Parts: sequence; C-alpha cells; structure tokens
Amino acid sequence: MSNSKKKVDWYKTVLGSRRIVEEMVVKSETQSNQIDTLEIMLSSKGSGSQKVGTLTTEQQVKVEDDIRQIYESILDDGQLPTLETTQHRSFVKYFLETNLPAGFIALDASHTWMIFWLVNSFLLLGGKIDEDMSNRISENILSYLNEDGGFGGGAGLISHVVSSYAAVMALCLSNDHHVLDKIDRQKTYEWLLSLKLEDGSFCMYKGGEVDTRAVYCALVIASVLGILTPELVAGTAEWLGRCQTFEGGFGGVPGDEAHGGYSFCAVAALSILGPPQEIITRHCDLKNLVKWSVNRQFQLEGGMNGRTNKLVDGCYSHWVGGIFPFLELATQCDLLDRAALKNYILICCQEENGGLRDKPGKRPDFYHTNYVLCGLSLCQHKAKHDPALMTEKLGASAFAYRVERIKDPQEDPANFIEPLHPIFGIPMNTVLKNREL
Amino acid sequence: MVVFEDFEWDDITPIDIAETTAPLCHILYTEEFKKVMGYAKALMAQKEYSERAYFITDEVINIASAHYTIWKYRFDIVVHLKKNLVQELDWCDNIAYENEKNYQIWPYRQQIIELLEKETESVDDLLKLEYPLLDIMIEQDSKNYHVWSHRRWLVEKFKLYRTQRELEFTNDKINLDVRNNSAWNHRFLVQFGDIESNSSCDKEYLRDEIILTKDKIDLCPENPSSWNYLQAIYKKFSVILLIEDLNLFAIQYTHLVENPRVISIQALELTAEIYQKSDKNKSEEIYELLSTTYDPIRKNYWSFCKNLLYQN
Repeated sequence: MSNSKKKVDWYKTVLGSRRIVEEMVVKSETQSNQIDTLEIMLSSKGSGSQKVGTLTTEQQVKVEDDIRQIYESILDDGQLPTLETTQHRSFVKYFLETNLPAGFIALDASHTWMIFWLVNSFLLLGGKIDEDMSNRISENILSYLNEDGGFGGGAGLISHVVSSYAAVMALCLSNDHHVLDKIDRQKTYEWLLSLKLEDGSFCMYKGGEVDTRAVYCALVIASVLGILTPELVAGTAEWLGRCQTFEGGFGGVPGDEAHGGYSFCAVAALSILGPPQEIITRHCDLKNLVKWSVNRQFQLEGGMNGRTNKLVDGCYSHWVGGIFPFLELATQCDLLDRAALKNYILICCQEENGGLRDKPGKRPDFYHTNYVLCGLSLCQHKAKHDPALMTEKLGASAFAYRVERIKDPQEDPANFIEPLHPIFGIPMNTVLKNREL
Repeated sequence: MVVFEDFEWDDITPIDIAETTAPLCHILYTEEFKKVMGYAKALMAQKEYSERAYFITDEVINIASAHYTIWKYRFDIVVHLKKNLVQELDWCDNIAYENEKNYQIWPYRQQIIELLEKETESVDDLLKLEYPLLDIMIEQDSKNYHVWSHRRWLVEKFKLYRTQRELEFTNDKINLDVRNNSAWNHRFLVQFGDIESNSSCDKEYLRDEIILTKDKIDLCPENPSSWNYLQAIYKKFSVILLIEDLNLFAIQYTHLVENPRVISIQALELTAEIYQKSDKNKSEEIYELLSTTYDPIRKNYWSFCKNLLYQN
C-alpha cells in the first residue's frame, strides 16, 4: 500500500469523516468522485490470489500489477489526469496532413477506415472541419466509390461492406451536406441486396466473410442513405438473435464465442430495426446479455475486455461500453460503472505525446484513438429514445435518439467530449445535419 | 522457387496506385509494393487467369495480406486454372502462420475446402489437411478467434458433434488452461450445437458432462468460463434438469457455509438466483453483499438484479 493511501486510511480512522479527508488530500474538488472510485477499484484483490495459475492468470496478473502501480501513484499525488485534448488533436491532425510511412501498407485496403477514425476522433475532440479538409475527405472517399454502388477500402479495390460503412460515415463527417447525393442510392441498394444471404445475414463481398459486422455495416449504410426496406432486412433480426451465445454476448456468427465487437454490431444492428426496449427482448435473452456485458468491466482496471477471461483493452470502452446505452434503455436501469471506465481511459489510455491506446505499454494508433474517445463520450452522456421522434417508417428508430450530458458538477470541463450517436458511432450533430436534408 | 523474372511482363502496363489531387492518409509505398500491385491491378482489369497472375497474387498477399480484392482474384484464378487444391491449402497455411489476425484466409480456405469436397471421397482425408494447421495456430495463440471460428465451421460442415477428436481437443485445451473461454465455447458447440433448446437428452450423458464441469469449477471456483458452461447446460435442458439441484454445489463457495475455501462471485450470483423462488430476502441479502463487498464495480447490476426479484 502506498504511503498516501495509508495516510488516507489513517485520516479516515481518526477523523471518521470521508469528506474532510478528501478536502485535505485531494487537490482538486472536481475530482473527488473519481478519486473515491479509484480507491474502490484498488480495493480489488486481483487475480494473483487465485490458487491455480494458468496462462490466462499469468497474463492477467501482469496487467493488474502494472495498472495497480499506476493507480497507486495517482492516489499518492491526489491528482487525476485530464483529457489532453490539444495533444490528441495534434496527433490526429498530424496524421491527416502527413504521408504515412511504408509500414502502413498493411492498412492499404483500409483507407476509408483510416480517414474515418482520424476525422471522427478530430470531431469528438471538438475540432472543426474547414472547407479544404471537407473537400479532401469527400474527394478521397468518393474516389473509392465503385460502379456497383459500394465503396472499396482504397483505390481500385472491389466494394466491401465494412469499408463502405467507414466511407459513408466519413462523408457524413465531411460537413458537406450534399455529398451523400453523389451516391446512386438505387445501385447501392442493389449491391447490398446482392450480398444478402438466405439466412438473413450479409457477406462482405461475394466470397468474403459473413458476420455481425457485415450486418451492422449494411444496415447503417441503408439507414443513413434511406434505402432500408423490408426486403433488405427480411430474416436479419432472427439471424442476429441466433448469434447470441450461452454466455449472453454475441459471436460473429451463430456458434462462435461471445465477443465485444461482434456484440456491439449485433445489438446496434437490432436497434436500427426497432426501439431497443422492444427489439432486444424480442430477439434475444436480455438478462443474459446484461450479465455478459457487465462482466466485461474489471474491478481493478475499470476498463473492459472483449471476451471472458481476456485482458482489458481501451477499444472495448466503445465496443462493449457502447452496448450499454441500449441496455440501459431496455432495462430502465443504470448498469455501467462510468466513473471507473473514465478512470481507466484518462489514466491508462492516454499517450503523453498524443493519441490513445489499448493499455499502458502499448502504442497509440488511429483505431484505438477513435474508439477510446467514443468510450469517453459514453461515460459523459446518456441516451434517450424519444417516441415523439419516431415514425412508422422502417429504421426510423435509429433517428429517435437524444443524447444528453450527464450533469456532474465534479466533471472537469477539460474532459468534455462531443456526444456520440449510439448506433452510428459518430457525433450526434453530424447525424442530425445529414438527416435534416 | 518461382520469381518475377520467370514470367513475361512486357505486354502489361502496370496500373499506378491511383491518387487524388490532395490525398488523405497517403502511404509512401515501397517500390516493390508499387510494382507488384501495379501488375496485379493491370492483370485483374483484363480478367486474366494465368500462371503469372497466380504468381502476382502471392506476391501482393505476402506484403499486404488484408488485400481482400486480391484474395477474390486468386480464388477465380484457382478455379479457372484448376489448380491443385491441396497445394493451395498448403499455401494458405503459410499465409495463416504469418498473419494470425487476418480475416480473409479463413473464408478463402473454406471455399477451397468446398471445392475439394467434390473431388474427395473421404471427409477424414479432408480433415487431415486441417488439423495440423489448427493445432499449431491454437498452440501459438490459444484464444485466436479466427482459428476457433474455422474449427466451428468444420464441426458444423462435417457434423463432428460429440466426436472423440473434438471432445479430446477441447479437453486438452481446458486442461492446459481452465480459463480458456474459447475452448469452453467450442466444447458447448461440439456437445450440444446440434440439439434444440428445451429438448431432451440422454440424462446419463449430461450427468457425465456436469461432473466434468464441476471438477473444473472445484479446481478454480472464481473462473466464469466453467460456471457459465455449467449454467448453460441447465438452461438448455431445463426440461430435464433443475437449476435448484445446483444449490448445494454452489453454496460451498459462498459465505453461507462455515469456512468456505474461497468465495466465488459466480457461486454467489447463482445461489441468489436459486433462492429467488423460495426466499427472496436471502437473494436480496446476497445481491447486497455482492454490491458492497465482493463485486462493487457491478453495484448497478446487483441493484438491477434486486429489482428483478420483485418484478416477476
């Protein structure tokens, strides 16, 4: 136990009042809730105490030791880090403006993703897209648009469903409200339909993999472009329901292990087809999904993992964290420990020179920067589903969300981040702007 | 080994990797990559299915394995040229070893196996091609999602439910690391994947599986994988199994017995669930204890569970 922690305990015993202790030890009034949470997190005995050690515990204990040390030193100082908005924005801006080294060839088929992750992060951090950037985004993304109505992951690549999701989202972010009209919606519709399989699922491209990511991305594209039809989604909700495993989360396809990324895609895709409080209970076992989701959060780390007995990773702040807005609407209960997740993100996921990461010791990258920021947004907001915004139209439910900042007088405004659309994963205002037209 | 110079290229003008006037995320390609990608695109554009096209797809995939367009092209070439499919799987093995997290290899492999299936009489011969790769890859990364998913595909495709080989495989992996959730998930598929929920099943058979699972829980009572598996059996076969029968087993890992060896959150939750019909106060007490003492990170969840007690 650290000296400061001992001191805190001593004060508690002597003074018998938590509040006084905090005023003496914690420098910043605004952070007392986060510090309290950190103390509770540190009270975890961790996995090292388990009798039978295996490879899983060996790796888990290593991560716990690292993180415990970091948290104890924070408690010593009594000062929590805030979001380094300026640093992260420069990190993102730098990569938007520079050429990428040859090592990025591995991501050559993921151009729409790289652009999406960077621009989305930039906007979540409060950045503004100027006209030049807006043109660059649309010009580049549209250069990946194929004759068949889908987007490839780069120049000259065949259309791919998840590349197309990133492309359409990037266009929404571009701040050019007419850019979506450059897509021939009829063609895109026919292309999506051509990837639909008999069982209700979708494949990425002919011969490509089938999984809940493909379903989610296909439904988001159709939803944003206004081409969602009963024909396109016949059997899809039922197929998604079959992906729920005995653990409660969703696998990529029926029978595969429950996994954070695939679970988000399944639950968000279902929520395009109807209000979460109706559609989730209709197609899956809600209680078991809640049980699996809450168990992804670690007592000590505060962050989440993507599967049972795997390690914490900042990106699951979004993939698993992002399931909670739907669960909280469906159950009408708070279910996530937002303060603990916030501690993990702010303390463990920020790289000093900008960018966000999986966990301490890992390097930041575009992917983690985006999804950790999405997770932070989740910690600060609550989603409401407003029946007044609903229409009879299929898919209308996706546009009936209001996302409000959780009123927390202790929240340091330096940490503020834009509200995120629970289904699409982009800032609320970018969805609204595109919707109005 | 076949090299670039073994083929005639003079008739082909490579297609430059297209760039817009103000590129975003522009990659500074190596000359090597520009060359092979340029030729691959040119050949693809003229839908050429030839040995040199087959060669160039290998070159691209070796540099950038996620180039799904090239995978699709290669498959078309394999079909047109009637390439040796077993050798194609061998090639695939090597790409897999080098690219543990690649998405394209597995559906590609499955397409090849489906072609091979038409030529081969014996499923065993086919499976013999798969097992060494899967064994090595699981040894490298015992929770590799893609590899387990491929194994699931094999089980479903060739109806390998409850076969000795699959059961022994999951047994071995669970014995090696009782917390390997992928192995537990696979075991559930192998044991019960083809059986409808709420149908009947040989009780003796289930009993053996339950004993095995309980043994694994005794080994490590804090392991959610084995608890989830146990409860899933009871849920799936609720027609013939009563969850209440787990009371005595679960309770030994709770504060409700004297000197428990260890207190398990999973055991507490299960006990609270079992009590919800007979003694709601007791369930509530347990949820409270989980919330304040054993599992405070999930205090919201425990209060949700408490609320549910009085809703049903």
